Amino acid sequence: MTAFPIPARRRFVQGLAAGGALAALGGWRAAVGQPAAPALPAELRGTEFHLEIGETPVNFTGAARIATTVNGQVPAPLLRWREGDTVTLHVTNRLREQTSIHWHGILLPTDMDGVPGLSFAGIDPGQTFTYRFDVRQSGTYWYHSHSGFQEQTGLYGAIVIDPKRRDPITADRDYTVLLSDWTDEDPMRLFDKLKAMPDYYNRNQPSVESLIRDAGEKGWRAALSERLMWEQMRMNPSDLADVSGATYTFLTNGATPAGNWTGLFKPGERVRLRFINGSAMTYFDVRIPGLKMTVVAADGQDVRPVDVEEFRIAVAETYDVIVEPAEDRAYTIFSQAMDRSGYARATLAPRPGMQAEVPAVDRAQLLGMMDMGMKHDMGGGGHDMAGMSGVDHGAAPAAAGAMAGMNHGAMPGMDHGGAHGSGADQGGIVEVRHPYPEERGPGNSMLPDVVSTRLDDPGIGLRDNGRRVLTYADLRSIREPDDNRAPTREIELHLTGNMERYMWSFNGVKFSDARPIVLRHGERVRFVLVNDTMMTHPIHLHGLWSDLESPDGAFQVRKHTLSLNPAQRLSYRVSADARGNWAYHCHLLYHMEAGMFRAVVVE
Amino acid sequence: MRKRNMRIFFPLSRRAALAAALLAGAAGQQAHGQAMSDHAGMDHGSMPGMDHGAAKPQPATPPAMDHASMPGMDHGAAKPQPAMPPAMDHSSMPGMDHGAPAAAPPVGSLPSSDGAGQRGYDSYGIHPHMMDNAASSRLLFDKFGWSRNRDGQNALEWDGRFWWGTATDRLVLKSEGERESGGGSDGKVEAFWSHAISPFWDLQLGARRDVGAGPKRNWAALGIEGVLPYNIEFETTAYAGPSGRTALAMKAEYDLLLTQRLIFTPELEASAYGRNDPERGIGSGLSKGSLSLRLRYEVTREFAPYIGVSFERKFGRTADYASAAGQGRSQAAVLAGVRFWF
Amino acid sequence: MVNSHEGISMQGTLLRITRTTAQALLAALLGAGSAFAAGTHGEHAGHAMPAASAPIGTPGDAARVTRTIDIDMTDAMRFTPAQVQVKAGETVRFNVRNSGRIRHEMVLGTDADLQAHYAMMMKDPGMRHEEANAVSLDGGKSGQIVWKFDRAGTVSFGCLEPGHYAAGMKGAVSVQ
Repeated sequence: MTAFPIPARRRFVQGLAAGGALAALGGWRAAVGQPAAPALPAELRGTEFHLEIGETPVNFTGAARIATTVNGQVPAPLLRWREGDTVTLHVTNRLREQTSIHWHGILLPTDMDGVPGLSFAGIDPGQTFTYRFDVRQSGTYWYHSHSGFQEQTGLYGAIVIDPKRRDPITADRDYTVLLSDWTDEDPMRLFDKLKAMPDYYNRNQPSVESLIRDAGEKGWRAALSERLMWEQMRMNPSDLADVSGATYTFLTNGATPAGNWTGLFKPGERVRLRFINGSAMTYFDVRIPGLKMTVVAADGQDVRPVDVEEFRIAVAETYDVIVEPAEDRAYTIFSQAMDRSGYARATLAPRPGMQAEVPAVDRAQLLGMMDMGMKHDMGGGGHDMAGMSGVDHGAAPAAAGAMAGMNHGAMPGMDHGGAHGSGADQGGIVEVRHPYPEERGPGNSMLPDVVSTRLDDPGIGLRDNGRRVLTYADLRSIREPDDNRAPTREIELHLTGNMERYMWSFNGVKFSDARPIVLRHGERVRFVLVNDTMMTHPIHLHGLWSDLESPDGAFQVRKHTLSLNPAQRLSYRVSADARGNWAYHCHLLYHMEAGMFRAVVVE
Repeated sequence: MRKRNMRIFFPLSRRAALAAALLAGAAGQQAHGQAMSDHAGMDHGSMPGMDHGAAKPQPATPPAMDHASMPGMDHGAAKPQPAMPPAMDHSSMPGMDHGAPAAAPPVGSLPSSDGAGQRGYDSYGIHPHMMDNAASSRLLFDKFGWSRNRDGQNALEWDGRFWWGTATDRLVLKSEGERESGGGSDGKVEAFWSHAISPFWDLQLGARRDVGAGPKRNWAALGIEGVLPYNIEFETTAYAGPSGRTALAMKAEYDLLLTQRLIFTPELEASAYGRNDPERGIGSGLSKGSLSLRLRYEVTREFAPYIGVSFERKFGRTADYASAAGQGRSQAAVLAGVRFWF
Repeated sequence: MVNSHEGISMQGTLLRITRTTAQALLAALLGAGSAFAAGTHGEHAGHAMPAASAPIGTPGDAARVTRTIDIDMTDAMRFTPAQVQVKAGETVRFNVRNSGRIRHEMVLGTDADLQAHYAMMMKDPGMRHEEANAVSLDGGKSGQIVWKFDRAGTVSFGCLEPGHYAAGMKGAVSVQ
């Protein structure tokens, strides 16, 4: 189901060759017209930083717009810190409205966390706020505004923290690859449009045309019965992304696909790519045709290296990969949006100015039975049964020595058989309770009967695509948490929403109507998240690590942002070891603003 | 950084071995403490309540201790990973449990809640900055254009609404009608407070005023509006007016996407009245029914010209009134107009 | 060689006992000293290695290698092979290869040594392994350890990169 109307918007999607702030200023690069290898984002090192937040004219698509910038740049400058240092950041607000900066994934005192109304009062126009904290970790992170929609209009940048000890990951080149989404529209207007017409940006809706195409593939009976099933449910199987390439141009390090950000290498070198998804609403599926990627870190934390051909990076996640381009040619870093409405494109090349073939965007997959959490197969062919097997063979702990070294979740959908251990859910399908009354209220339009943990499910659009795709089942932290206690209680939260009304919440209750989640300092709790909705959501807890559990209940991987597929249930452990008010929310910006947010107080 | 060459210590005597054990014990404690402030450490100003089993610093222990007898350690069940004194089974590294996987109680077996505390945001100094209560608005004209019926009568037709409010509570203004080029007109304007009662349905409470030819009628209105299974948009409203007038109106419509931009919309409307209202040409019972078929092309989401046809039929006493006025009981018309919103 | 093995004199024996005691005392002192040095964990604490608690052998002479063993270190946190057998008195060259992508190391020692060393690694991040009983390799690189196994028993080895040993990256040399 492609038929994405690109021609009229090719310029918009591809962007200007030399788009960005320079183009708006009419810089000489724009005049030259040919895509030069755009410079790396500016890098700031040291222990004291001055960041000025302001507005800067930009031009990514041929239309001049104003972006929210740090030191005049989109993305904001790359900050390079050293583990063990104390960093001081003076942030000055030159906007006409309040601003803030949140250091995503960084452990720090609560009043340095940068969430207005929770951590501090915010940074008023003209004011300079000084952040100061000890750097207690290393890896790849990022920072962004937590005020209004400034994260959408350009206030996002990378953080790289070099470890105190020798970095176990060695490479000859080290590049940050910051993926983001840019819209020429005013995000407030965009938000209003979503409330007026939630599928405004979905140009891939089921239609008679697509029905005829489906019938050609599956036969009329299957196609019709499936179509009628969705109609009967009043749900939209193509509802993968609220905001799509219909308005977004996708950027890599601030460069449009035409702008073609390029990272240089010498053939045979090892290149470390630090992927950061700094977008507001877009999941990217990343691959480099011709290059195998070895994932060595996730959310800044070292993981056991695992070779993949493709990975999905949720909003706010980071993945460090090592590639070893051996040939003297260019490679395309291809990051397509999950709904296949567009892509971000960059290049790895031995010399500037080179390009490699850009693959076509994959066909968009539609949601299927598993995503609905339906108890019974509705019968009839043609349903998306990929990965339907109930057994989640992901993440056998290391002690199962015989399994070590095997790539779990190697084949999407492959059933390795045999649930581990005992208990209600070993990754298999479980019936889910909906204990909260508001889940049946206007704020939640879907109540799955069954959910599953299925850490080995790569997600909609990546199942059975013939490539080795990374899943959470493949991610194993190298180090166990220092506090690896078993949890003493559970906090169960359902991700809820009603697309028709553009309402998003936890447990059917939006932020303003809820009360804070309270944790006792020192306790170890288990969060159980159940995704009632049919969208994929990245959930981020500030200030405290999220230690994802495998279906067996063992520690799997430490992250700061966890993405949930439709009808999925995840559990993770949190040590409440830092006092204060911590934000907890879906990192899809418009969902967060619509109320999919909580305050977690550790007292 | 000074380095000690390991060669010095080889070979060693037993006394050195004891010293080493002492050292290792001390280092073990230090390392454990330090490791917590190292990588992945968090606020350890205080770590109360952190139970590392028998993790309290151990005095030097003789080597080769039987780790199965470690106080507080339960190697069988899923338990925390304490720091073990050194010189033990090498499968017990500080902070690590090498035996069975550290399996926690299964999901669902621990006391569960939504985690919400007793107090609200204010008591924690939390002042929300979310836009989840923000109001928005929309003006939509489903129909705005011309119709030309079989008799060659042209008319301006409209069907629009305006809402303002949040996702669950809105002020809604609706209006529909037609104005003939000859001067006759017929229409209604309604105002509601619309409240979400379920994911797909709103309850609407308000008033209606009939405009156009004839005396203006006012009604109190109560209705529901929403989406039926199979994505049929449906609204039905009951009205009550002074002197015992009552009425019922319903509308159902469906958007069939032919392509992403070409959309076919059949729409069915019907109205019924409790009493005759000859001044407005309305008879009691089922009064009017109409079916319109429109095809629109979305140039943009907000602007979509349409063409279509409509069929209208009057029933019962309403038909009689129409005949008496020289009009037929059924009518057909072609439509052209634009659907727009912003 | 100064010492003569011919004839045992009273003087010689006394000298030997004295020397041995002195060695032991010196070793104990240095061992205790390094304990304190390690205990005061400042940022520039010396890379004070813990005293091994049992003899594991001595650095070998490359010219006298009697056996060569290839060991592969992988990102699956394993040594291949993890169990090797040698004879007491042999000088072994370990050809160590890191076939993974991230740094690994191989350190010979007793379990106590390895644990203590691991703990110090966590604490003092800049440590480098240039001792004869250890080799630290970036991904894709190779190196070697030449070691003489003096007496029968078991000599363990492990990778002390944080998390690796705990994940099972260890093995043993069985000395017959």
